[in-house]
Amino acid sequence: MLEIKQLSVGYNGETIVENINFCTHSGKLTALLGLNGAGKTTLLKTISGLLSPLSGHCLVNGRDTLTLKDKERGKYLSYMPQRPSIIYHMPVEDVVLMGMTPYLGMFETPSKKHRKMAREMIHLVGMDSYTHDSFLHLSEGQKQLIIVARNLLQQASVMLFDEPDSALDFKNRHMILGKIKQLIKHQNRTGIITLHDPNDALYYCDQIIVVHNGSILTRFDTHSLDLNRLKEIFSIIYGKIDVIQHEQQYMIVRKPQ
Amino acid sequence: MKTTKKPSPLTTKYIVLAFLLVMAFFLSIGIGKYPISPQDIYRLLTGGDVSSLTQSVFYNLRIPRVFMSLIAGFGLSIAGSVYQTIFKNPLATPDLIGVSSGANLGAAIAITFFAGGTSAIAISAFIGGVIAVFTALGLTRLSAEKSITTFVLAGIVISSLAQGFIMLLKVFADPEHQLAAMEFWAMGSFASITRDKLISILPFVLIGLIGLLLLRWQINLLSLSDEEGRSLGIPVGLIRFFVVLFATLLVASIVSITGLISFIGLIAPHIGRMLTKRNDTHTLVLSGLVGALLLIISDSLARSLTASELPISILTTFIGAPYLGYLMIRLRQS
Repeated sequence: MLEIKQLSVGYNGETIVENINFCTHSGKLTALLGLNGAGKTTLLKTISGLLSPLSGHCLVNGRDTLTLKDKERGKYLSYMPQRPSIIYHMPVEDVVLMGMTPYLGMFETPSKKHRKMAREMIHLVGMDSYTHDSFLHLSEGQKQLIIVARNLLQQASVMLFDEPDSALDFKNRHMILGKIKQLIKHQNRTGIITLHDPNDALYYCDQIIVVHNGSILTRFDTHSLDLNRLKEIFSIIYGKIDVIQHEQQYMIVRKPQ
Repeated sequence: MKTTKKPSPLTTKYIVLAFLLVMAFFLSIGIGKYPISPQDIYRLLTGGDVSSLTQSVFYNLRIPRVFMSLIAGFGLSIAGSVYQTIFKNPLATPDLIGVSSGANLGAAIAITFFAGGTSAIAISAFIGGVIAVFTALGLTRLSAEKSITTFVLAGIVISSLAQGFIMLLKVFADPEHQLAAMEFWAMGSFASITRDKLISILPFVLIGLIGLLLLRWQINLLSLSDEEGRSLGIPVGLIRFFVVLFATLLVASIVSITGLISFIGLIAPHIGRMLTKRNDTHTLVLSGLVGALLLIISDSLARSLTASELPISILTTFIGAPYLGYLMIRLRQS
């Protein structure tokens, strides 16, 4: 379980989002939605420990992870960046093995047992046939799947995803979001994902938190939605929109001019 | 029926490189102003009858010299490989943070003010290299931004300052002796390597090498962005500090007695990555073996191409620069 209490985030002395309070549970994927510059990524990075909070707490299973050192925090929270930063050729298995690092001593290297665990994670994301291939030779979607596998190996109960679909085409976007949703549910992790597209959030996520004008505008469960309420919320941030229903799924569309 | 298991491609590469290194080592021992024949080398190794002059050259000059070229090639290549990894830049060299410029300044100071005795030059060069790096690290701590760019900029600042002071010393140096000594030191040479000098730097070389090899997994993760590294539990700042410290000990100790050796730390890691098609511990070690081989060959040529010995950096530059050109062409083609 992840509990955010009175969290305020920002940098260079500026508060971006303040007084954030929410909680989310295992097996659930929560989306952070908002316009560019609203503070979604700042919030996510602060929860992940990459940015220092201005104030507040982030409790993972009762432990305030904001007070932990990076190594210890890596056992509670995993973070997936928008794009991986690997620049040298590296076998896929070795990339996934990096997820074991929070559990290794300073001078330790992964063992055969860890390699076996890494291969299990590669299997979970359906990338077995690429285990010994170079990471740099994969497509963008495949690379994101391997990073998900790496984050799974961290065995962190909270998994954070920073716009993992941003560089992907339509097909791969849905592939990666679908895979993340499935893994969060079946591996019983708590997931938080920043997204631009509200329709992806409505389709793949269990909870949506809307960040707007320096605070949390609202928070709602996607399984018990009211069309009018949705329209009211999303009109505030997206302007002239409409909400339509397609096969029991709500979708946000732009109103024609 | 039992089938023999074939060695993996990587094992084969290790075996081939090790074999080439051993061959180069023994060939190199025989080369020099006083050649030693293979038969004499065999007798020396098996306790046979050899003249005392040959014995003296073998044990006091040739063995330390060839060992030093092996150690220098291995150490500089490993430092280069590590720097290319942690600074996420395939063009990074062991000189990135200023260790070579600092060592150069230390040597120039010793030549100018301490009569240029070999021990004084070595100690001064070592101290100069270490001080330069620590000053650069200190500069990075003063900066609010603690990124790779900060390290590189700090290295440029310190190297530039060191070069400025060296130029100043050269202006006032005696052109016949001091200036010539400074220029030759900066070109590198194994000519003055003795057993005592080799032994004196061994502890620092071993500390540097062992430290870097112990941190090999953490170094691998430093090839990621700082954010990704931290999210995977790496104390990025701390590890980077220790990696720079160990690499500095390694490089400073080597160049303190050899002078500056160019290109080995840049090209050997590239060859290592070409051989392994990855960037991990095997790449690190293979880069070291490649660097050792290149430097043994270069030093053998330096001793044999002309009547008077050539400084080592001339050979490594004429090997390294064309190789970089070849890499550029390959990059363009791919």
